[in-house]
Amino acid sequence: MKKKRVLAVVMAVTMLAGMATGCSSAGGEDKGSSSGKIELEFFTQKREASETFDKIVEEFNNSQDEIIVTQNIVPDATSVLMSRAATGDLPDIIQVGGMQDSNTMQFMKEGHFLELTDMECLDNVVDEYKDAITFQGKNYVVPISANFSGVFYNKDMFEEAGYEVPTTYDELIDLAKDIQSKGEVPFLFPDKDAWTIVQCWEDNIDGSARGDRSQVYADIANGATTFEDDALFPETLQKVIDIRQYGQGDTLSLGYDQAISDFATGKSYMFMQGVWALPSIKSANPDMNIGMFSFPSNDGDTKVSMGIDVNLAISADCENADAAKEFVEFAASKEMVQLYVDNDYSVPCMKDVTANIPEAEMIVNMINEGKGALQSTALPKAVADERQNTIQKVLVPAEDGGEDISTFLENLTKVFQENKDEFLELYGE
Amino acid sequence: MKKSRLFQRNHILFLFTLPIVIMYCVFFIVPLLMGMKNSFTDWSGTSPEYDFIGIQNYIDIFQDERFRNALIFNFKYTILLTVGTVVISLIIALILNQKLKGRTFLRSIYFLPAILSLVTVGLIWNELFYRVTPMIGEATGLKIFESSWLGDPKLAMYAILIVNLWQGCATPIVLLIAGLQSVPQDLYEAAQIDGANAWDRFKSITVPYLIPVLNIVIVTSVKAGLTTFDYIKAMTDGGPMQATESVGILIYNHAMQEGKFGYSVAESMILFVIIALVSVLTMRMTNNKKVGD
Amino acid sequence: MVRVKSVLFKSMAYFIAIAGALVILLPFYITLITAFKTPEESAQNFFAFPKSLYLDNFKEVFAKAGYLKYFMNSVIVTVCSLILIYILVTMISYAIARSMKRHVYYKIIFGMIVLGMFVPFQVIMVPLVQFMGGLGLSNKFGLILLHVTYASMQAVFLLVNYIQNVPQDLEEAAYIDGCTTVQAYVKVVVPLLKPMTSTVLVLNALWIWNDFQMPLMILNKLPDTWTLPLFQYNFKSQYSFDYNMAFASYLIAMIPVLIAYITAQKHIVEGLTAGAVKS
Repeated sequence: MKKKRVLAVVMAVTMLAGMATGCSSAGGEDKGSSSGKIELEFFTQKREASETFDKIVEEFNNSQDEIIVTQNIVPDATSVLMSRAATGDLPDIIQVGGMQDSNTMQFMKEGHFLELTDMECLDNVVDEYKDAITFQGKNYVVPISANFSGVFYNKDMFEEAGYEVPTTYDELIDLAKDIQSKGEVPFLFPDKDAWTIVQCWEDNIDGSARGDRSQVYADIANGATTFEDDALFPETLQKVIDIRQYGQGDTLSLGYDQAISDFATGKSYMFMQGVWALPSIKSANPDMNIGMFSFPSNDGDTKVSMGIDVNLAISADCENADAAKEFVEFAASKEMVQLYVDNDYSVPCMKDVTANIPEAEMIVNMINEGKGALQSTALPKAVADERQNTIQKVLVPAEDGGEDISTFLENLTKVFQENKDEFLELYGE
Repeated sequence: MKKSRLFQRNHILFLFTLPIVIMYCVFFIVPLLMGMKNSFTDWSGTSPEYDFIGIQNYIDIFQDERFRNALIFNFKYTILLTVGTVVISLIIALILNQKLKGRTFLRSIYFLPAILSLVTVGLIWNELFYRVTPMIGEATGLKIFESSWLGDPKLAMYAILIVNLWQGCATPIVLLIAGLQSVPQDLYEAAQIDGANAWDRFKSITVPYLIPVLNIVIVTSVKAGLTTFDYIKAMTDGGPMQATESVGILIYNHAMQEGKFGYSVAESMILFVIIALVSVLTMRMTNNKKVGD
Repeated sequence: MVRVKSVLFKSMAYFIAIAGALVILLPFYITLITAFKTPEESAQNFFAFPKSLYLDNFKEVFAKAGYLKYFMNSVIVTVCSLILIYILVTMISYAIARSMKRHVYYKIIFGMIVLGMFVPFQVIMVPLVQFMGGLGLSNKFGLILLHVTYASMQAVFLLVNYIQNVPQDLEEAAYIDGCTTVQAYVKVVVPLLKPMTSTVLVLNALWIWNDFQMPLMILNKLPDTWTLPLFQYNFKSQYSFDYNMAFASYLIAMIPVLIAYITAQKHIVEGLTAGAVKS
């Protein structure tokens, strides 16, 4: 009996030793530090931009010979990033969304990002954006490009039918009615993917009417107003519902990718999305003649809702922080930002770089006239999740388990109140 | 002499178990215990600090309507999946066991779905539902086929079920055909002489021989139903309106997207207990029936 | 009368069998034609046969992604895992089946391993990733060990039940002939278990080849070591649009398995069923 136990211990130790040697050799292999260069992992989450990032990485690797950066783009990136944060193993350099994104805020708040306040490239950020990237007086991210929302339209189909770009909400509805009366489809709504409904409401319809949302969120947090009592939220959400009469019919069964494929092949006149959909539409149909306008408000006083799309951050645990900073400086240089925005059809966050998006010329002009409103306030994560989880309900009749607008908005207010401390802690009273 | 041989044999048998036992402890038991600890905390999954909050997560879960709905979904889904798998596989297996022309070819076709990855299956069917359902609707004029089932809160579960059965029946069909072939033919002939009709023959000859296979099929379907995750992830991601949010999906969303890691582990502990109970019950039930053979 | 009934029955059987087969084949047809179309072509008509054989999708998949590398990774991971499962799981199952009545240790490990089948992966996922990282096992080698461990749960359950029904006479005869335990095991027991081991190996081959979650969690840092499912899924993520190319990549990923299935069909089906049905 005793002998057996001794034997077991011996076996266990040999097994573990075997494993340990196995892993140390394998571990050496994956760092690959034999070249003597510093290796950095650059984790990105935007698949349509991966080729552009590759170009930037290649230029950087060729520009010096001490550091090698490798781009890593994985399936299901949000979950992978979460699990790597959970295991204390964040990538060296991470591409994240803007500060209007609850996930970005969560990472920043929990101290996963290195402070970058003294980085030179931050001086070059467009002045209007500087506030929007500061968190409690400090900087943790370097912005590269911003995006905006609006309505894509098929220029050829518009021209053929003799339509003009609408400038007020009523004009837009009249246009949609006219298209529908001909038996054609004005809009495609990919409501199967709930995030697109949130985007349609928050950025497209509400954002173009309201502009910056920081104030109203602060008011809700302080109890000065609620989602249901706000002057705009109920109205803009009602528009989200109303405009679906001019959709393709069964909106809840269409997914985002399918909608892009359908829009690119002329199945509808218009498609509400963010500018990030443009590369995909163009890849689905390179010959398509596309235009884009901002969702018109009631009186034509339309704004453009913008958000920072690509931010670069460095992990707080990065062992080679100086090398990582060097890469970020490089990627945020004028030349590289120009290279990025030219390929990604987005708006640069750095001075002396120009946006080249002929398809969205109208919107870019509005931004240059100062009508762009950069969203920089994130809802508490629980509110953002609740909103995305339940927003499909407002599109479904009550007898099928749907909800009316006021129930939905009241519930959002309730969840916001439960989590308001989180908000007030981040943005002050 | 004989005794020492036996002693040596016992040692060797003990050594035989070690590699897997050690791997099992290192890669399963240890992480499991570490995970269980998290269920008593309010850890967000990414936050550097967290507090122990006792069994608060468990208390909250029992009052959580979302969890209850997910659980109800799981039970409905499991029952339908198990019944569907058994009925469909049995019918197909019985047919393919007849002397049909080209049955070998047909059998190999029916096993095809088993070799595909879930991701592929989900994406392909997604497209089929969206493009094909309205076409059926137009052709038949039936309202139920007007639009994709995946977009309808009432029908989405059935759409997922269809896909799950499409792939999930492949292995049971092969197993059941083999089971049918193990039935001695002379028994049928004897029964026919005795004047038993087809149903009697099926009931008293075929079924007893199929019990071991059915046992495996039922237990695997029940487990697959209760832990269902991949098909839903690939097709509806829990939507529309959380109508297809299974416990597996809920746990994943809480852990990986909504920053409620501790809570999600508590949920999976509860799911674990439920699965273990149900599986033991199913095994008991099917094993008892075996007495008849 | 009986004749009419049997003809009717036969035609019903044919009808159901063929209709079912068409339902099974439809998605394969879609994959095949979509892979050969341009995005515009498939947006115009999803079901139509491609007008010409458009091969750029394949060219791009091959050129861009180093398909062969991922294919080899999948082969290495699957084959190594299966070899270890074959050796180690058979060993432990034999030991448990033969000693369960003799010593409580075997009963306990059997119970614990089988219980593992019921634990949802989510409970262990994060601690597991943490742990693997700590051991320096976030690589192919670690992934193989994980596959073996998690395959062992169901495999031990199936094999132990099978071995308990295998008579001990042959083993005993071998001892009388002077075989040691190991010799008897290798020469007598392992061949006897072939039906069930092939069932276990076929089930696990399908699972490991197509597994997505575990490689994603373990290998995400090292894109060079990715397996095919990760590579496939990368063609498809929320903001992407590589639709036809994605289908081309599915088709390419399917082909080796299809070839393996067609050539080894008889063995796969036999292997799968051998253990499940007592002969």
